[in-house]
Amino acid sequence: MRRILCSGVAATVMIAGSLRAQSSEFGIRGLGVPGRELSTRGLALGGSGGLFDGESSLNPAALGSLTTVTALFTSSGDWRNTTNPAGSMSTRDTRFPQILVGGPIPHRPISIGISYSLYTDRDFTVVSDGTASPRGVPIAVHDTLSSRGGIDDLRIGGGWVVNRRLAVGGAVHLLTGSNRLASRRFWEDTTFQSPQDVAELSYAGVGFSVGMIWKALPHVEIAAAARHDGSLTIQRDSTGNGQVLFPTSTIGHVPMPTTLSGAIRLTPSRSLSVTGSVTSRNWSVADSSLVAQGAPGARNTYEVNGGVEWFRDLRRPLKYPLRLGARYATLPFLLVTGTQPREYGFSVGTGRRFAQERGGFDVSIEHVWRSQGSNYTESATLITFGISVRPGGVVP
Amino acid sequence: MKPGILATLGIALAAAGCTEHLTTPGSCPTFCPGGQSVFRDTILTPVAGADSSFSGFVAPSSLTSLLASNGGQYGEHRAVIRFLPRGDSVVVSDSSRTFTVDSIAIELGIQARDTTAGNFVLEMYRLPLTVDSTVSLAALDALMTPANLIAEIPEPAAFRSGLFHVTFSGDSLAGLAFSPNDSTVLQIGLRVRADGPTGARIGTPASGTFAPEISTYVKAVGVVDSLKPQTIGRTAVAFFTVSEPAPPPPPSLLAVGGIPVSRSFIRFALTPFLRDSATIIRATLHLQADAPLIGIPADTAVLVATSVLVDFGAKSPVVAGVGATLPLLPGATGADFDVTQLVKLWQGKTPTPAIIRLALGDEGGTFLFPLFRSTRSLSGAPTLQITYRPPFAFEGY
Repeated sequence: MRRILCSGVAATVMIAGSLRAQSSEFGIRGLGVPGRELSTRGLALGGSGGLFDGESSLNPAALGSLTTVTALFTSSGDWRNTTNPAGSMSTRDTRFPQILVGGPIPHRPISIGISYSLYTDRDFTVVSDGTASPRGVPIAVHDTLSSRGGIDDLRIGGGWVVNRRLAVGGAVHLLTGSNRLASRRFWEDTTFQSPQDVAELSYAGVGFSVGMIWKALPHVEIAAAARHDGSLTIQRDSTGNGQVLFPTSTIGHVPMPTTLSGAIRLTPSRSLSVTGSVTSRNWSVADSSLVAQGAPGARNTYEVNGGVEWFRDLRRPLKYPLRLGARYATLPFLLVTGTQPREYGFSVGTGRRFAQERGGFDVSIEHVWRSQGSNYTESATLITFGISVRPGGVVP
Repeated sequence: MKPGILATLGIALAAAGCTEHLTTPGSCPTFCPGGQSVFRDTILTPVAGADSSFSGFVAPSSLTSLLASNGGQYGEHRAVIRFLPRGDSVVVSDSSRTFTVDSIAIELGIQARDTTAGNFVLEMYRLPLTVDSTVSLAALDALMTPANLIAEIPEPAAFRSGLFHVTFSGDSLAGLAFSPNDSTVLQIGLRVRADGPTGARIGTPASGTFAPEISTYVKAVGVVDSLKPQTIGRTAVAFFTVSEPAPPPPPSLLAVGGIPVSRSFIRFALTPFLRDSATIIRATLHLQADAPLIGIPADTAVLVATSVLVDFGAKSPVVAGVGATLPLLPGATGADFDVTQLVKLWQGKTPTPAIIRLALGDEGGTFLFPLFRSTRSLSGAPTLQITYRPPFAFEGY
């Protein structure tokens, strides 16, 4: 019965759409809201354990923790309340933020993995009202600007377990993805047609990352990772309403940030794990390029995360452990010139392995608050569900 | 099933339910990456000398109305209708038999008439079959004598449009009797008279419900009375309007409609930007009439604008299914109508020629005969006002 249920859940989840996570008004001006490239377990821990988690995509050295072939699929539902000077609105969307397949090379202390995860998310639909006088007579208008898509991160990496205390890894990141944009104006005077302009921006870039996990003491592990994403090429390919197809054209190159992150994991007892991490990204390298393209600007960001995982059953530690997490982060892309946007959140989660740990699921519920000044605020509840499959079961 | 599994299943469905509602309120410039929507307006004039009229488009059999008028602003018009041959026998009990005529009813439809002139009378004359569409007004009037008058139909002042019957029986049947040379074909002429200038539009078979019909009620010879009388119904086979000679429209004007039927072609030169890049949201063709339109009060005609597939001059084929229409009323001094769909055909990779063809919906069937000014007129040339949107700057952030 359990297998049937799990198959049903998996089938439901596999009605896959685009690879996206949460949407936000803070993703409108700039490349989007940064993704978190975490597994469901990593999200439940506030992101603090991501550098140790082989099912997340933050640290290639963590791939060494995959002791058997593992496939992971996550789905995330997002309920959000947005407030800005134009009003408030409740929104909702569903996305699939993390897909990963990885595992060890037999008889080698090396694991490899490929993952497809969110780098930035630029899903939004904005409606604004106003008046226009195309022929000298004021007419009420309603503008809709929508975007679907963002930048995805295809990571191909490997981790080498050097010894029982040290693992290192490296990965290549292919940044890809697109924004499908549409702009439409509705006129109250219906003698004016409501045109819709559409365009697609495509992104391409290459980055690399390196990382390590070091067991400094029997109950203390330290992880670190560095990532550089080079330059992002943005191209426009569009066609309009009854118009001639525009040729594909490169509209800009945006320098991408270098990410430095470090984490510590303490295991004071077998039933408790405490993790903390910090991350820094120098998004300001993109500032001048984005400003030149009309954005208010980009700022360096940092993120602080903390989490606790309590294994309630030491014989079966992955049977409904309790995970708690908290984080605070600054957001890179300004909505308006002024203070830098920020967000903080709290999360809780659990999970279960079954069928001799060949299958499993994890759940995370997170509530986040985002703001820039007092005029632009947002709160969101995210429910993330992850399915993992390990055909070989547990390998000690 | 354990509660934990149920809860997990619920959370999974909540997380995976593929719903999306992303609309948030916003205001520019904060929420306008790429800038605000820009709309512009431009006015194009036709290519100088490339707007012209041609006449002689519609055959008489395609007319939806016949015109009858008695001068004044309407001019002089007479209507002629020829019915199908009645025949000289009927079939009763599988036998062809001769018959005697009990009565005859002629049904006509007035589509519109000028009710402002009092004592309106429609005169119906029997015409010889030698009268055809080449007849002159004077020759036709010469045949409309009291001797040929078969009916006078006074219409009540309130009667503006509708069907009516004229019934002939007894002595009045003599006016409809056939001679051997008639071959049982009846041809009638219609003329109007009133206290002042007036006009009427009379329906033709092309107009549908207003089609003229003649019904002859007969009794077959040599059959018992219990057999029902026979009715022979015939519709019009030929019809045309005879008008007083009029000079052709001045070449400096764009004629639309009239008799013979005229159409006009107006050519524009679209800029490459408008042709390739702009999103046209409204295009209005402004036409200025050379004089206020004349017609039956409150009687409309429809001005039809179409685009052409290829420029073959007067015989340019039109783009089917795409057009713009505008009702015209007597007294109108111009026409402003929306041709957005037509102008959009001029865009894209396979544009049609930037030509607007003007015609009337009821060609040859209305007193309204607009004459619009052209690029050859001293003033009031047609203009095409286009409101468009340049490409949105999606590449901006």
